[in-house]
Amino acid sequence: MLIKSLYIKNFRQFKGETTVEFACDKEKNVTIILGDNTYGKTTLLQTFNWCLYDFVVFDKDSNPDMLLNLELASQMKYGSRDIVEVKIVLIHKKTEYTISRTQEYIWTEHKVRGEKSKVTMSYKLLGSDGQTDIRDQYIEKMINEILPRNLSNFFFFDTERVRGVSNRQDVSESVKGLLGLTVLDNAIKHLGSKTAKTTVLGKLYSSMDNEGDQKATEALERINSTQQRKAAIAERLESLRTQITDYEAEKARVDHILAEGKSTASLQERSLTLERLISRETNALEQTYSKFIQEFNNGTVTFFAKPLMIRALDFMKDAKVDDKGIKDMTAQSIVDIINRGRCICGIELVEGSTEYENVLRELDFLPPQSIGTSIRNFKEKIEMYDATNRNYFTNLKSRYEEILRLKTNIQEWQDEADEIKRKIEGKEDMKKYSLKLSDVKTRLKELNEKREHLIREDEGCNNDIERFQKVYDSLVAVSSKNKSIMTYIRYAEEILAWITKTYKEKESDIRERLEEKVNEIFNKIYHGHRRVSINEKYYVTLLAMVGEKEIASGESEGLNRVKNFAFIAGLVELAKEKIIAIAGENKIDLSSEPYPLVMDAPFSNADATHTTNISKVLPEVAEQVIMFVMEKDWRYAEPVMAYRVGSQWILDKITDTYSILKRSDS
Amino acid sequence: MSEIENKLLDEKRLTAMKVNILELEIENLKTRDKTNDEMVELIRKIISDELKKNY
Repeated sequence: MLIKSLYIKNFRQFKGETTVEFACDKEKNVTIILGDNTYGKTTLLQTFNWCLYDFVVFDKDSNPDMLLNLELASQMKYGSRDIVEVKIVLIHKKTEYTISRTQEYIWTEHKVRGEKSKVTMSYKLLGSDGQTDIRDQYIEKMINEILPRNLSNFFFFDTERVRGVSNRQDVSESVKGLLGLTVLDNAIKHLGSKTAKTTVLGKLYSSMDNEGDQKATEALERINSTQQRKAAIAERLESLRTQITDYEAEKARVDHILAEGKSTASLQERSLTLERLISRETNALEQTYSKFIQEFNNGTVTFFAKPLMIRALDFMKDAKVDDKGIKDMTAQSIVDIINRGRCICGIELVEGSTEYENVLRELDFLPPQSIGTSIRNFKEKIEMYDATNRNYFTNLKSRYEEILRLKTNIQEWQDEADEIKRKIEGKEDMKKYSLKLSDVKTRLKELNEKREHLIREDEGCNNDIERFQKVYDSLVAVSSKNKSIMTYIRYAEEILAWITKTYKEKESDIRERLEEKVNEIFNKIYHGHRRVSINEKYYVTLLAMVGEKEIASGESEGLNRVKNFAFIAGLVELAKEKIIAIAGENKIDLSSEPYPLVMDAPFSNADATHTTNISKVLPEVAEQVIMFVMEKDWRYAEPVMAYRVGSQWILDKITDTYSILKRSDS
Repeated sequence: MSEIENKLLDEKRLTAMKVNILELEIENLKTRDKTNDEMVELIRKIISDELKKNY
């Protein structure tokens, strides 16, 4: 299918009449329309949607329902009318189709109002003259036959669509359509199952005559409920499978990070250990310091007085040491006792009595009469001090050595900690990844257990269905009407099994080939070490090799662009191939048509290299490429694409509400 | 026993049904002409008509 030309009249900023002829040559299949932002590129893309499918997508704040040029609308007077028109000429299967949509605008009740749009369509065989009109009621059907609306997402691309094409919810259905699987998918849905009442099988089963046969009804109900349970199990299994795949990819990613950061993790752990050791030793050092000072304060005087004591002892070695006196007694104490008149033992001391004399005699052993007792006391004290001095030095020395040891340890560990800090500066905290890995492993174990449980439950369902089916068959086969219906059911089930099998084979084959093609194209555009993977929902992921494992890699905006272009190009190329279903000797062609690619600002956010590479690939894979491009992007695309350009146009903005499109000389 | 009952899983009939059903689906995918219920009814009819044919 090729788009030959586009005619626009008074559509948005395209005041008056504008005609664009597109390149339809096999070798020169590219049409370029150059224009900066707000010049009308998006409006041009919307003319296709409006003409073919009667819808447009404009910003809410740009008056999206008003298609008539605003300058013309402002000049309208009461009762005056104006027309908006878009006409597209297409070539499809050697026939030229002209589709024209018009909308009349009328000034009424102080405002311009648009009537309902009208579409006309005519055709002629290539090379012949004259047009044949297609009747109104067949036009929509005919347009859908040439350019199915549900697939239009894959030939009319705006910037946003290019950005999200590989991970949108609706991509799966559109891809199936583009690659010819929708036919099989729809047939499967229509044939249905005995539980779905509005399907072929559902209707056939419900038309069975089970009246009066309670057991048959019960058996059918059991089959139905078991099948519903089985369908729910299948859904849960699919969801589990997706979750398991996601968790496995996450596990591989975290494993990789941990393997890469193994040395960092051990350094981070050592750093924490050192912090703890340093803290413990610093506390011990403070305590030892404190004890050292305490011992120094307590023992220093006696220690340094020792030489003096030795000299004193030496001096007193010949003095008489009297041991008769009371230790630590003084002469004044004796005088006080006598003056008090009573001894400390309670006996009254009367001058001249024996007791009085005895107490008075004590003065003879005390200074000044005698210093023998004092010398004895002094010597005893020196001995006591000397005993303290013997431990004093040893203790201080030991404390000092302990302080040195602690300080050395702290210094060594601090040096090591500083070195580690320098090495791991800026590195991620590996501990969080260890926790994450443990989390992911637990979740994976839970999911796998659930999965195994469901598989066992599913097997149980199969056995139940088989058992109840036998009961049901034996009961309902009694009536001839039921026998006829059962025959229909056998055929319908056989056809369903065949279509389902064919669908699975084709789907798997198509996805595999699509992945191959997308990778082939991706490698032409992107020169790196990534691979594209396409899952069963046709979501596209970039994978990078890490060791022997492939893990999902991150994507920049530019890389996302490249990935999506590769996906689109792969789809377009694959859609050109024939897809055949074989029934007996019959070959049924399920293929879709090759479609043109119409793209608005496709290179936004792609860098110069990628723009160049994309520009090389697109004209090779698509039948026809129509691109609305900004001049700044065209600089990079032109050198590689110019030889494929068959038609080039340039947008010129006269005012905010008036743009013109003219053929470019270059 | 009716004639239909004797025609269980006749390969020729089965193939014809497969071809007719897929052609119907291909046509409707292009035109979107028929509703879901109409398609179900037409497929059911393809099966019953084929079984009633005398080859």
